[in-house]
Amino acid sequence: MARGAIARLYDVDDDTVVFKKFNIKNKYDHATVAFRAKKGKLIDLQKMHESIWATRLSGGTRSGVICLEVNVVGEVAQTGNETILHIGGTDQQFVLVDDVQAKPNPVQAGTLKALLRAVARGEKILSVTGYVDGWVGRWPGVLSRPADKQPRLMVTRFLAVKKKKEDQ
Amino acid sequence: MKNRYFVAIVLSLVAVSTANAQVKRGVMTLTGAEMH
Repeated sequence: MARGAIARLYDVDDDTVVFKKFNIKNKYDHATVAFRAKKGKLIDLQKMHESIWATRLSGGTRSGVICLEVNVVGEVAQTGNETILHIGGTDQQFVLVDDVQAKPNPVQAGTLKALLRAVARGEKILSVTGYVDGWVGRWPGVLSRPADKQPRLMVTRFLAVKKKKEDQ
Repeated sequence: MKNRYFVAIVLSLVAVSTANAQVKRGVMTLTGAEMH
């Protein structure tokens, strides 16, 4: 279902899509779907949203998404009160924030301040990992609203990227 | 002529695909019976 919808995306390397189920409970269990873009490609979250929506998930099953963690690389800039990450070679942006609703419970906020300190030191191109806002809720309600064109991303980890070096 | 149209369409699709792409990798956490 979600795994298949993600694997069908053109820019996803379907050999890297890994479904892992956590046998915590018998019935309503947790699982993760890990995925990676093909070499030299990037994945469009709006297309992923459309692909999962197209599976026509039924309601009333207590199934849903808990969170979506992503890794993005781009240039960070301060615009007014907002910290924006511009994805290189595209017109796509993320608003970097310290907290979002769509995250697992143990995650602590606070990494954004460290990121801003790194930017102040002159590090501009960053590889940022974090949780995308809006990706939490039961199917199909969580998909009823379109994916944000400028998603908010809760920063959990980041790494400075040297020029012309891929973050892998 | 047909080739020219074909090339134009392919270039448009490549441009749209690149302009909207964002993510290098990710992990989606799911719950419930329909999670896979």
